[in-house]
Amino acid sequence: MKRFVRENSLSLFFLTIFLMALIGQAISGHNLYNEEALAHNGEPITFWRYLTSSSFGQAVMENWQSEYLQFALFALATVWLLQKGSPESKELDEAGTESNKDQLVGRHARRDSPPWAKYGDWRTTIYSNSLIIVMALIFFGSWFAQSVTGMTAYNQEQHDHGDPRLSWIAYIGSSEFWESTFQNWQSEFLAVGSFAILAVYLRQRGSPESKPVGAPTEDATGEEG
Amino acid sequence: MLKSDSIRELDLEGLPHHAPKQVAMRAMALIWAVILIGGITYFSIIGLTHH
Repeated sequence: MKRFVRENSLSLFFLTIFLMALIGQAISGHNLYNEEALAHNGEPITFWRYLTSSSFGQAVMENWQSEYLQFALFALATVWLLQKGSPESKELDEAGTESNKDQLVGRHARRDSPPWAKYGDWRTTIYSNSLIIVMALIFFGSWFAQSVTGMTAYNQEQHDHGDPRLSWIAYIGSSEFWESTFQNWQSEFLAVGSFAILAVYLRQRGSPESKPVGAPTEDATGEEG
Repeated sequence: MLKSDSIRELDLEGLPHHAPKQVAMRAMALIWAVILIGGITYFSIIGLTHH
């Protein structure tokens, strides 16, 4: 057990604070929902009803989609795009998908390489892009979930005000949907872009997200040669 | 080949005596997969059923 915790401490830590933050969002979201309902002469709802509401779903999903878009785009962009001196970037002569030898695939695979890295056929192609594929699927899945929960929450408000409801197609073309989408995207792109450049000049001793404290500014790794 | 190298290779191949370690790591990956797939599916159904 002790070894399991030590070997998975990063995942366990983020799993714990993720669940705590989600519970915090649910409690505060429920309170806010009822405060607004009472202010507009509406009926308050139970906590369980809030957990199964599109209002809560939209709030969760719009953040999920933007996070996975950010990571998928960053993993994809850093194949070809570079930032000199950043530990988040490859060296300037390494842009692209690199050779099979560098990537240990096909006949260059090691004995202990994953099986799909060894085949050298379509399975290796899929496995070579599996991280982006899965991240993109999570992004599109959560973006879809944001769209349907957002549509339902929006239509409930329209109904309360005696206004017409929107179809899903109309909703995904609406300012409401795109405002909440861009609101999340801009903050993710800001964070990831600024991190790539800040890491050129700043350090966090001991973090794999940083180069060594004494590494030169223009050097991404601090390693000789 | 040194004995230690041999042991390291065997370790990477995930022979039975290292199986519990692999199972624990796969359990972690499974937990995250369940959260992601479960969350997206749950809220998609919520939205599609007009809750």
